[in-house]
Amino acid sequence: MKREKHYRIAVVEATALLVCSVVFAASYNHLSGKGIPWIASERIVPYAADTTLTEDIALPAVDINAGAQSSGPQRVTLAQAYKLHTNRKAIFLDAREEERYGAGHIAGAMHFPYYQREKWDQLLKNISPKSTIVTYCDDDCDSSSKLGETLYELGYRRIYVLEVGYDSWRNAGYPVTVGQ
Amino acid sequence: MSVKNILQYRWLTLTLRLLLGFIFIYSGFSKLGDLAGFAEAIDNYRILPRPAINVLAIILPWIELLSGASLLSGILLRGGAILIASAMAIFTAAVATSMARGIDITCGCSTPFKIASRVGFGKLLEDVILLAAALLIFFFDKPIFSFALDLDKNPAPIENPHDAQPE
Repeated sequence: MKREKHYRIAVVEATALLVCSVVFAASYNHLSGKGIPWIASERIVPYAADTTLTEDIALPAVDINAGAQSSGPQRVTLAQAYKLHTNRKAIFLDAREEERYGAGHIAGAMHFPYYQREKWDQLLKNISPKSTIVTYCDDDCDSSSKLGETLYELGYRRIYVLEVGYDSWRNAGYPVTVGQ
Repeated sequence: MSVKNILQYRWLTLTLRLLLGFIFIYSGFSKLGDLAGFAEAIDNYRILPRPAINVLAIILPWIELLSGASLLSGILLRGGAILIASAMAIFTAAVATSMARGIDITCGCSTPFKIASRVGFGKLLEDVILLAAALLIFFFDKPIFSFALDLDKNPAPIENPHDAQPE
């Protein structure tokens, strides 16, 4: 009985604290000037025009559809990515974890785990800033766009993010490699 | 000294309360300065769906602040303790699953002691210790300097109704 009362008090008190937290949080987020949107927006990466993919190395890449100089990575469709793959004009970077990369990746793709930053310095030594790069991950993830944005900030300018992911690539029958 | 005596050693739990309260107030305040960065840290765990990330980033610092304040002041102490214990259980699970998935990220947490800032065994151990401390505070029956809600608004029942009748 005593223990039950102990729990009952705890639940009521915790609920009161939670309600107060929500009220304070909403007020602070609205009034402080340091607030963020309640719902995070999806990362919007503009599509690359076919013409930009066929150009020789030119810095920075220009998104013709947007009519302005690109200020970040651009998105490529599966077909555009496959074209870059067959032309051997691009380095494909797999942003997923090692196990997923080992279970299957785009043929010739380099493992570049977004969440293991300590490996980046070594990996970036093999990639010229002038390289055309396509980043990808799984169909439902955003480490490829995050990787693209980070590489762009590091000075890489021809960065393309595969709009879908490895699953769609494999399902389309495009070349894959299993293992390291 | 038996285990029960240790657990009911009031000054031990009072010390833990002050320590945990200070840690959580510090942690809450430091997150309030950079809500976007905290949201990014939550996102890196890849556990929550995208619409839930900012909601948690906005509310969690205040839960930490108020729970920490309740531990320090003794007001709504058990509620604060159970909230902190729940939060630590969730943090521990998040760190453990990230380690199991091989994700190497900063933990997104901020303590005044800088014990471990990246997800790993150090962070896991730190979280488990804080969880144990919060549970100890919660289950300690006789806290000192605390002000709990009184849910018994009605007076205690009278055992013999005849005693209550006016003469």
